[in-house]
Amino acid sequence: AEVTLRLHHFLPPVAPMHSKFFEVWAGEIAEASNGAIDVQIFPAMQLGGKPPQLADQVRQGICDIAWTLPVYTPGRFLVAETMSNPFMTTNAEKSSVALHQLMDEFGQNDYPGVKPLAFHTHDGGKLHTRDAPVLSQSDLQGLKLRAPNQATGDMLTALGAEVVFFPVTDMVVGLSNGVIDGCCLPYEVVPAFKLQELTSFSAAPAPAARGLYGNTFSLLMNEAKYNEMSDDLRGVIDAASGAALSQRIGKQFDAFEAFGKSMVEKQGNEIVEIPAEEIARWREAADPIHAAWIEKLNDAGHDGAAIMARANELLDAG
Amino acid sequence: MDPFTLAVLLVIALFILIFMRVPIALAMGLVGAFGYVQLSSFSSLKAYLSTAWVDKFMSYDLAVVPLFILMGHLATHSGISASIFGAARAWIGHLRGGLAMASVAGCALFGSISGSSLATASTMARVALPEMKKHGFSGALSSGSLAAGGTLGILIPPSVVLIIYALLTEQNIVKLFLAATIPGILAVIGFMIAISIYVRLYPEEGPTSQKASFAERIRSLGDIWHVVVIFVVVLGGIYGGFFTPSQGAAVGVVLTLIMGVIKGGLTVNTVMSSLIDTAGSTAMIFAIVFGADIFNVALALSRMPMETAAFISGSGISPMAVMIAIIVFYLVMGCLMDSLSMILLTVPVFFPTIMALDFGLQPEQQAMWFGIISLVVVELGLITPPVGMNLFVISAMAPEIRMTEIFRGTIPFIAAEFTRIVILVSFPVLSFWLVDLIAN
Amino acid sequence: MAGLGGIIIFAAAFFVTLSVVMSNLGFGGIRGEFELVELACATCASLFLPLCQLNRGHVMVDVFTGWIPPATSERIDGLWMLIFAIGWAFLFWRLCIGLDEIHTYGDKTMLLQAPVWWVYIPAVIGTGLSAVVAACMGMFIVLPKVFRAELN
Ligand code: NA
Ligand code: NA
Repeated sequence: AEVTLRLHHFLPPVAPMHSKFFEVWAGEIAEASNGAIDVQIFPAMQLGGKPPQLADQVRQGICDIAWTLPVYTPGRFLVAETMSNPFMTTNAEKSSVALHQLMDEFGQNDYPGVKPLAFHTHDGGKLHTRDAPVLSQSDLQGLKLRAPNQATGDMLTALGAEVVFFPVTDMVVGLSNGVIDGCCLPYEVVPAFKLQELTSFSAAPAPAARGLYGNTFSLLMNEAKYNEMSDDLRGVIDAASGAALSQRIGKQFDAFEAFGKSMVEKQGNEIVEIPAEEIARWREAADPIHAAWIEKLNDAGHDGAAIMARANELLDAG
Repeated sequence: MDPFTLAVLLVIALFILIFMRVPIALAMGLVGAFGYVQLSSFSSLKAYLSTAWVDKFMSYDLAVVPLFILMGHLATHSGISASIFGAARAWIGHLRGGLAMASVAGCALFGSISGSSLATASTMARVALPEMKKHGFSGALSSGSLAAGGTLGILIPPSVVLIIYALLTEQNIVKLFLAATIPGILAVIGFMIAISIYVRLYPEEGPTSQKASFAERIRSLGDIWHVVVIFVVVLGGIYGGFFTPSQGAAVGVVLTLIMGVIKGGLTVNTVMSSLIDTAGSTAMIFAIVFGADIFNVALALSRMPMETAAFISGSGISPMAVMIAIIVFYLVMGCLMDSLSMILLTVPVFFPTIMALDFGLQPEQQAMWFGIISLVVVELGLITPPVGMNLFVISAMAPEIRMTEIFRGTIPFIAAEFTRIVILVSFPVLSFWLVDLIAN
Repeated sequence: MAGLGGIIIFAAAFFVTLSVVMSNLGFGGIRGEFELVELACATCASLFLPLCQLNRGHVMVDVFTGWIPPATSERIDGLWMLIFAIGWAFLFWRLCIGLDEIHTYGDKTMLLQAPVWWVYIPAVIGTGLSAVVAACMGMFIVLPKVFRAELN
């Protein structure tokens, strides 16, 4: 191959994102470039470092392409992080389209030295519990929940839950021996941790309501590497990235979500729906978190209110 | 030069440097850095090394290593470990090689609260080496039994390696822990048999002590109530749902301190020397962990482990032959690499291969069986020369024992492990029977 | 310095235990205990290094060099010690750059909001001191006469 691109990510290769997206995408690029571009995939942080370093690794050329989460480096990619706040997600496809648009409008200067290839989200988080389903705020009182990120933790704390931030390995053991009562994660990660065997109940917001939270993801490429490629090959990368790619990954995450849900159903776990009115009350409890986020954006020199309003507009439009 | 050839040369270069008395951490770091520059570039090596040290050690998983080592030093300085050996000697010391067997039993006990082999080896070595030396055990037998016993840290659940395997293959961690129990007990039995054969062949290396009277035995039990409290609280805490195994390490340190003070062996001075001793062993282990990190990244960049694994997978031979080829590959690589990197680099390729083959098992059973086999084989890498982390740990604890002696001492245990691998491969049911019985 | 590292790891153990006890008594655990342990681990790893270098604690394999006269193998060890010094010095230099970068970015840990550049300071000190220790010891071992002459 004329150009070798090392793609580094943190998921194990059994994850659907690796086998159903990265490998397929790498194959498409090889084909479109007649074999001139060889995308070598290194899963599970095989090139060293920990997931929070992926953004730096791709900027510094330690790898050529990296798939990472803005929340891994809190405060560095504030615009992309905006949609990781509670109640800033619908389904993965629509939210990904909205996020990509938001980044086009507000996030152009956040990635010096890096060429973003796609921005996307996963589907909204669900509450998976051991002993009882969560249907209303009263069910959350004193419940020991593992939160996926800071903002979601703040939201669950505001609603009365007792929040812990265990690493995932401790979360799995904690769920099995009862140190914690549940966790907040999308269905998509259920197979990875066999969550369906560790919990008995899953609560999802009613379809019309916003998701509890959704992490944002970015697929980034080293800019120097991109620039030193020939025009033809740059064209191959251009065609394989951008808004269409963001939407495609979002759509795939919806499929992963459906698969994860089917695992929960197959296990015979009880799946309940949190009513839309209840979620509306929860959203009010999250108002201070959103207000604080706007302040944070303002402090960093952005127009926080405008970004937040535009994000909501894009989400509601989808 | 193509990356594959380069990787093979790197491995050879590492061997040569290690044989030339280069400290292991330095040898791995140098060879790794050279390979990194060849396969990537000097500027990316510079970038990688500007954060890699802090990234590597800002880690909850690695933090249990100094915690468990500290726990071991505190236990030694407070005299708690001496009383464990008092009791062990009273009960089985009169057997030939009894103290070595007691060390293995101690490792098994410690391994049931610790998930790391390095922590188990260093803690128990700290506790048991001086005692065995005092009672006339040879350096080879005492270091061999402790290096082998140390592997019980990952063979007996909880186990860091199994956690990584479970995450890579999307298996249930708790079921895997359960699955590892019977193979873990088999390991203890195998090590005991190895010791008894060893001391029959070389009686002078593992002398017997005088048989204790019944009254002495009962008294010795009264001396170990501190240990009993520590184990009951830590084990009960983990299995009773009060804390997670990683939190258990911290609780263990605090409890050992409290029990040491109650026992009267701990003073400000002895606590300080425990801290200094912890510093020495931790730095040595972490330096190797860091050197290994650079070396393993270089190997990953070459894609040599992945390509070899893919070659074995794609060779179209019978299922059992594939399994044996994988085991042989692991055994060879185990001489050179540390267990976690081996799992990380190869399981992603081997696991789907094994799962696609028909061994007449349910998918989940097959996944657990392969998990246990991988665990046992990479664990064996910890005690096979020349790169065997447990051997280095023992060497650091007892600089007066020559590396040659340590290597010699592990031979019977390596033989025991080979036997166990044959048993586990021949009877897959041993790896999932308990899970079927309890969890399903 | 190693003692300081030890006290830090000790403190982390106390902190986690306190969090576990509080959590089980129903007061709720301490937020960010995991991060504290991670920070403590990185700090210790760095602070413990120079002592290990001073004690010649880095293990090596002596199986194949047993036949070499002790004086010669001592020289060889001194040579490797000097190369070790170069290794630590290189790492020290890179960590200084890393410290500067992380400080500029202002990265903080998620829960404690502790600046990550803090743990680069012990890392810089630990690797820097190790380089100095290894260089001095290596020269002393390789060129003992020169040093003894100077001492006299
Ligand atoms: Na264990
Ligand atoms: Na080995």
